[in-house]
Amino acid sequence: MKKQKPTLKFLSIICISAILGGLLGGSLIHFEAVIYQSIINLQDFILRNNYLIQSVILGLCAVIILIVFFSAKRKLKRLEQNDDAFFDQIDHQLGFLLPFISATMIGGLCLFGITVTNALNEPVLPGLILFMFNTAFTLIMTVLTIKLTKILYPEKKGNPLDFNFDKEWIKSCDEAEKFVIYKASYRCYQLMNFVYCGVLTLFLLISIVINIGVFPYLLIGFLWITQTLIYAKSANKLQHGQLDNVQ
Amino acid sequence: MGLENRLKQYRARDNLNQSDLGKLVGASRQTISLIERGDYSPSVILALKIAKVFGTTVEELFLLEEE
Repeated sequence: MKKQKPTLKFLSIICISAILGGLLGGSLIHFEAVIYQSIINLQDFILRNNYLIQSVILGLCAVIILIVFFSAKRKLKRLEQNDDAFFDQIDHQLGFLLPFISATMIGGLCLFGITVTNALNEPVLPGLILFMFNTAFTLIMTVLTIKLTKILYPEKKGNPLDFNFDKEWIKSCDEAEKFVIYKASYRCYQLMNFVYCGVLTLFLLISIVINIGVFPYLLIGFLWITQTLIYAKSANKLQHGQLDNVQ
Repeated sequence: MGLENRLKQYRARDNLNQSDLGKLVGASRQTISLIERGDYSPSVILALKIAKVFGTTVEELFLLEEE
């Protein structure tokens, strides 16, 4: 009975999803014109205001990065060795700052993609300058934030401009820090499986009303399969004697 | 079953802060903080290193908390 419960639950979810998907897909046909027009309008809006959108998003991100960075830097100067709570505060700020800088850099890359797509309708130069400025800014801020982190944790090693940075950094982490990184990576792997599935479903639904071509499916399929295979290969390797946890 | 510890008491006894203890056992201050809060169970090697610093046994420092 205990074994049947999860199977029954799984089958019920699959059936409900299929019914909901069918209903949603069917109803989309009735609103085809509205949805199609909304998507086209949204795309037009993005393309028309491309540089304004990019400037606002990237500018806002830059301001947040600078505020958090200088706040952490000021606190670091006032840090006393015995103040563990204050230490945790700075650690939290730096823990937010590094991923936020990475996200800003990735966002800049994606937005530059819009500039290139729209190259026939507007001059590319402002977009290129914005992209280069954002990339340089995020790179400089990454280096500076890593330097701050090294002041907080002097045992940390690695130069972010070095291609082996990840390897050196993780080598200088102790067992708990490695455990945190591995656990977070697995959580990311699990979540990404849902994200790929969700995005693929969304593309399928959008395809009912608008032709999005074959590339979105190929791209998601490629990313999903690559992730699954890399995970399986790494897990297999580690299970067969390469689990280096002896210090 | 959780893991209780007396790290804080021993640290106070020897007048060591988290950073000092971290340096002595080759771990970060963050790791010592995680262990103290009971959010991370250290490896056997790290537990033995910590016990050695305080001149005690692992069993004296870490206790299994019965549910």
